[in-house]
Amino acid sequence: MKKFFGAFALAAAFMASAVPAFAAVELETRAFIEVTTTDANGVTVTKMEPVERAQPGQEVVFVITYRNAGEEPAENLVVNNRIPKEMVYVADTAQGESALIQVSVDGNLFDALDSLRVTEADGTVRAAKASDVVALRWTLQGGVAPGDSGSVRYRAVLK
Amino acid sequence: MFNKKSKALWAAIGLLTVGFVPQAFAVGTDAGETISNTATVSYQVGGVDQEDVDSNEETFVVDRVIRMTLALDGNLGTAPVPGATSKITSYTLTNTSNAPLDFDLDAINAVNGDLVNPGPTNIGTDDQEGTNIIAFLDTNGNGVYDVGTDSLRIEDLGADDSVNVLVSIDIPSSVVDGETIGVVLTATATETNGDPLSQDTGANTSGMETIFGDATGVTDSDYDGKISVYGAYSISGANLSVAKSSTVIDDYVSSSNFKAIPGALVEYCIVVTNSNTATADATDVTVSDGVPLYTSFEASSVATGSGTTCGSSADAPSLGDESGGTVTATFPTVSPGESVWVSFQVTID
Repeated sequence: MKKFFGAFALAAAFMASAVPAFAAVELETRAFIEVTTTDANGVTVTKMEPVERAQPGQEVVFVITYRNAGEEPAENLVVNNRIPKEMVYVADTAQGESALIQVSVDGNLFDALDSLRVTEADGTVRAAKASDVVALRWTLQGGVAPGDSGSVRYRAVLK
Repeated sequence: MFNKKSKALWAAIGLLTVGFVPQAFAVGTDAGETISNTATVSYQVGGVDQEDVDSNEETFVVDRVIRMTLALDGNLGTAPVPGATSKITSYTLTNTSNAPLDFDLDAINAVNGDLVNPGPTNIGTDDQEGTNIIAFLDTNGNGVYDVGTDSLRIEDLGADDSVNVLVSIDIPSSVVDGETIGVVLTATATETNGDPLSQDTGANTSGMETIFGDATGVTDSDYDGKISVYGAYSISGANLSVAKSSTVIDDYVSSSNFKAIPGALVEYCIVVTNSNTATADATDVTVSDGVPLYTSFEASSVATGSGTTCGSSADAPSLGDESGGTVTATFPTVSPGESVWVSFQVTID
């Protein structure tokens, strides 16, 4: 699909010079575990290690890296990530430089967590909690120049 | 900024959310499950929307964490008496792992001196041993261990499932009121085919690994794939004591301070007391006493009653009698703190 689109974009570029050349943003998702070790001198060092396995209760750091591999600036990047259904979002852990961070409890409406509401099975409505969050959205302010990259991240706990 | 397919999926999830109350995951995600995460980015170039880009699918596998809890059930039932058989203590074993497991059961006597029951109902220090001790799954639900019917292991206990485990012991007749028989029940997790579990201690692999996450039991350590708890039987017995005394009723010589001389009439008094600290009635208490040598039993002199002093009360008819030189009296019930007496008279030859 991407390849086809690329070809199409390229063809479009030939047809009308107003349409910009094909630019490709690459996206990578990585999961890490924070490992804290204390050396012989009593100094604690925290390292991020890739997760290959985890047990219930494990906190995982998801790092999503974007890179503009194209030749034109990319603008209005919006990174979306649906939290794995086996995991629970950890409150206030979503980070992203120069990004507007919004969350969603239903996958449709994205907003600040304290603006969202959850309707319980019995019809009562309550304020949304971090554990209700099912998806995150980072709306990047400013463009990403060709060759540039950046990342956003959040933490979630394995149920 | 999901693509069309994603939108449809999200819409479906949105609908589901309305009628779905999130459940707390008591034991966690199933072992071996693969957790997957894919991010999506939408963007524009030169003000024109570009095709959304998906990231790689980042995955990791959920390990199997071996955890379980074992607790003595609160209701201990009637306290056992000395000599009782098949006395049961009841326990609840819960598989708090994220995978189904089998469990081997083992019950042994606690070590003398151990504080065997931290529970509120039956605190005691172990000082006696039970016999025929066995832990089992009461397959047929009749409350006693049946060889060949009841299982000595728990099979296929699902994640977050609980099972009732019973321990049966016989109470030796030598134990006395107030003593405690402590037992240690240990449940050891195994593979569902019965093979022992082993913890993966090597380098991380991408596959499911087994990790011991269990707590410390009373006789086992943490992270060993097993759990142990104390149970206790507080013995409820009668505590009888017997006292015998004699009084010269008349020597037919003196007018007071009668002497035990030939021809004198002597009354024997036997008092049986069930201690006021005892926790059980003594029933069918039979007192036997031989008519002493060099005395002759005074016909129809056997009297019985309650209280600590002979003659203070009397049963009519008497609960005792004499036959062939032996005085015998049988009291139906002597409750804790209660005394009964039997008296009889003889003439010194």
